[in-house]
Amino acid sequence: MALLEVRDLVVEFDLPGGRVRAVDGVTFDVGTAEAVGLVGESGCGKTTTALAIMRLLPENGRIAAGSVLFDGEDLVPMKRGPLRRRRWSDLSIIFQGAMNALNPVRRVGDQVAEPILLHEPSVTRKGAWRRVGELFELVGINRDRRRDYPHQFSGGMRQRVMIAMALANRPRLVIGDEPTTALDVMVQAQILELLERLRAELGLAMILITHDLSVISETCDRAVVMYAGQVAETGTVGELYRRPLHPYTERLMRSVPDIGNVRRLPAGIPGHPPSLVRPPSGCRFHPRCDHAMEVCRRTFPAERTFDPGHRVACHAVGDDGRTRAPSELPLLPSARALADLDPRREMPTLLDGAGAALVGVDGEIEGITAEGRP
Amino acid sequence: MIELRGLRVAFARRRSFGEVVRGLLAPSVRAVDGVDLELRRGEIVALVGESGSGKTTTGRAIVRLGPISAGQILMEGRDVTAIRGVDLRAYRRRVQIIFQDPYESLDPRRSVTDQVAEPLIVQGIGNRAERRERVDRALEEAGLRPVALYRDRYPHELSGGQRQRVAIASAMVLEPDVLVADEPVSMLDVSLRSGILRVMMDLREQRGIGILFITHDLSLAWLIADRIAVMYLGRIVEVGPAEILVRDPRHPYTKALLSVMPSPDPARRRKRAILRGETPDPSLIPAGCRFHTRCPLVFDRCRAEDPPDFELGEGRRSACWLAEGGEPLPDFPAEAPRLASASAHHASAKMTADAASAEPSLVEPDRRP
Amino acid sequence: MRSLRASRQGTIGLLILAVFALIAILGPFVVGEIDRAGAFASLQDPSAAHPLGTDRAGRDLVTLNVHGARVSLIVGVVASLLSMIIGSGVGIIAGYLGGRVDFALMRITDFFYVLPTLVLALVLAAILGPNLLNVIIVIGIASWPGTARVIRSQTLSVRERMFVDRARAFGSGNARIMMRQVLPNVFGLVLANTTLTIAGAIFLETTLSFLGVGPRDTYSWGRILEESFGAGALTLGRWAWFVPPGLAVVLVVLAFTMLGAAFDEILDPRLRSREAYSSGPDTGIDEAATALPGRA
Repeated sequence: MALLEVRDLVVEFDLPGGRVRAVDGVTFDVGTAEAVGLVGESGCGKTTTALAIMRLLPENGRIAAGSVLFDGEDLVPMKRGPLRRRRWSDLSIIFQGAMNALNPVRRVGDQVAEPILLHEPSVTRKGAWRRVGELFELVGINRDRRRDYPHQFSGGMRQRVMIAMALANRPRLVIGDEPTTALDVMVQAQILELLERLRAELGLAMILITHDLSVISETCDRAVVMYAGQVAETGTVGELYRRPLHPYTERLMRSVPDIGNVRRLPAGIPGHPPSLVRPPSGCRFHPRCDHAMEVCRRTFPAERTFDPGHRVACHAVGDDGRTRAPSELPLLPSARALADLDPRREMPTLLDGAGAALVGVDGEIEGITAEGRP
Repeated sequence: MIELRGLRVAFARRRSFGEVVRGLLAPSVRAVDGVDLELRRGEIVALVGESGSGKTTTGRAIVRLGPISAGQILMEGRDVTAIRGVDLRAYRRRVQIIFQDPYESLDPRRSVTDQVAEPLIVQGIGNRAERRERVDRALEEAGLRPVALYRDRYPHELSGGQRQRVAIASAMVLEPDVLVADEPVSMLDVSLRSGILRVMMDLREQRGIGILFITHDLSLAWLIADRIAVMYLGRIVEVGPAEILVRDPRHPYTKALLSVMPSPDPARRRKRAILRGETPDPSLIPAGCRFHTRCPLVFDRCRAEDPPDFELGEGRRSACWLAEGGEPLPDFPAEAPRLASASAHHASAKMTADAASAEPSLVEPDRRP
Repeated sequence: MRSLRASRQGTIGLLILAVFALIAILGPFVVGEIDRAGAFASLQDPSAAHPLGTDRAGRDLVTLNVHGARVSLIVGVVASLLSMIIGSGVGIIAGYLGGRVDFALMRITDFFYVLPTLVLALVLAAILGPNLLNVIIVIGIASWPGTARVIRSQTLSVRERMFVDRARAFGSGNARIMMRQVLPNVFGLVLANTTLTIAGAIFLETTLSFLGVGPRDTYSWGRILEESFGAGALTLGRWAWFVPPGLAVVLVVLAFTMLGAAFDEILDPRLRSREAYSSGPDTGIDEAATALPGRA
């Protein structure tokens, strides 16, 4: 049994525009001391998943279905009390843009000490302060800086403070939500190296959330590729790189520049991630997919597992674990049109959620919208 | 076509109370500290640097949006550094800029057509019909087809990629010769970037414009640029053809940047040369070579003298004493083990902390009376 | 504007104003002209013929109040319009151009700002004479500094926005940028501010009239109040005389204030957050999360 098991998680939000399922049936595991990456583009639901795991969803959000098993115990139905005890001492999170989440008028040492004092009432102030010193050293900050204020730290250092805070109660799993975005490339490398070191030294399990595939490849063992609130593919980073099964994963992998390899502009993916208020029918990626068939428009593909622990939800993948090429498939007209699409061209998307209407080479609207209208 | 000679942009920072009391003059932030660069017709030059490098300030200075403290900008030989009025307007017609944030760079209250047409109106080009035509053409070139679908939309009805294309259209509608692109794709999803990049490369092909592509992402620069110029603390430390620079860097900073570029291939976990500490504050630029405080190949001369730009042939230049002989850089020395044990991590933690706080040879704030 | 209806305050305020506007516009046609002195018996109690009774000069009070609505509202609106135009102009110019222009304009603004409004108004009214036009001018002059400051600070932030940079980049001159980039983007604030200024203006006019330096050529609510107090209506307990105009002023001012508060809600930065469905920045903020109220 894995340390963290997320099963068929569904998260809904009440928005002025309607009810939205930001996360729609997400399943994955995180083993002890394992680093799993949650990767996807805007709107795929990765941050929401993290917040749901921590039960930190905002007012208008709720877990509508599914379970989150930590050490066998389901966190979803837990009451406030036992949940708070779990939080931070078993699971902690480093929020997105965390470096700006520090209270500017309090010393950083006090802020890092806070969770310690809160969750471990037996610890004295002095003891907490000492622990903060140890934590600072662990993350590479001089102990003497406990008395400093946030504005005296650079972005990278503040991120280290946030990491120290997340480790304050010695959790077994840490979720890092875009821990290195907005940081310089060199500082990003420092932080990632720090996270790797901590993982090795403390036996930490990690969930790393990012849109940057290369970061995941560098630091994680396994990755979960999300699209529009659902999981497209799961597997080891090696498998995802060498043998991506889902067309989205494959395109995403190819979109990332790889210095040292062939120097060619990647193909990208036409269109945009869809609105979740009225998502495309069937497989949500089908309007942008050049492997799309009729069945993709109708039904969401069931997830299948291939050795070794490589899971994918795609109709184009045969039972032998090979993704059929577009030429072997009975494609939708929209998928065929995608092949002819001028890569410079913008695919118009009506933003009220109607999905993508494809435009033919000569400007005529052709192809099928997500709802199947010509 | 456009040439920067010894460009400098310095800002005066507000003094803290302590500094006022001690009689110190306001320290100047030398954001751009002597930049030489050429951009030729039909060429894409990437200006690469981290925060504090001065790349954005340089870009803005070129389009005359930011102040210039010293040095020259030459356009086809003519000094345009200080031109004003009609001349400036004419210059603006030829040199345009695209900004990083597709949400902010468009006026939320005006339609696409309005915003793309405005440069034409301001520059007094064409009558209404002609303008309409040029706007349509610009939108098409930016990939927004069919134009009819986009003409009357408002920014909030468009996606990030679409807005950025509108920004490109509004810059290109004047048919400039030079385009400064300040991080044009860094706020867009990865899968959408190629579309925008392709548009820009086509503009270079078909219109022969020169593009200054400002980015913090060296791998992006490698993909799209003909030449790459690497900036650190206000100065270009290395410049050269993209492929060659990436294969054979002649400045330690470039070499370090290359080594920390994450790769999507998990099998290629190369040895990363992670520099300690962070880029020093631009108001406290180290004496001697400005990179010496973090350089893994530092030696005595570096601390004392600021190296000049060494010409290395093939359009390459490097501001490093090691580049003087025209030889490739030696390997970086082996570092403390990556996965440090408890005792070793104390040492490396100290190193990090020290490097972050102490700067060995600093320029003191000016004490001029 | 649909968002206005979403706010309960805004709706109530709007309704109240609609009622008064109706009274002001159509009322005089219904009740006819203000009676001349002595038309009816003076100081009558409310009756069927005169629902509010008559004043000391024998004028029907309902007619007076209806006309008063028109006058008070006109003064309020026109005076604020004046103040808004001057204030916005000064605010935008000072905020955008900065430097010495800003300094000079702001010192002038400060000067008017610190002058005690009432004293200023009294003095100006005494000098210029107590007719409707002058009172409007007086109130306009007294109110513009507040607007100027608010608009200036909004201009300062709009000035830094990228699309303003863009306009400079293709050669827009200052004047053009102020008109086409800055103004449309501070306009919302101008509008919200104006509703509050109107409230203040009406209140100020009422006060001036009450003190006897209001318009002498027409009847405003304030003037009714003035006359009623002058005739000792309070001690005589002639409620029908002074309560309606007082209440009317309070209701109208309240309504404008509620409207202003509603505008404030609408103009909250919440609204300036990206629309939910666009492809977001690469910070990876989920769409749903971005669209939540209260989240950046």
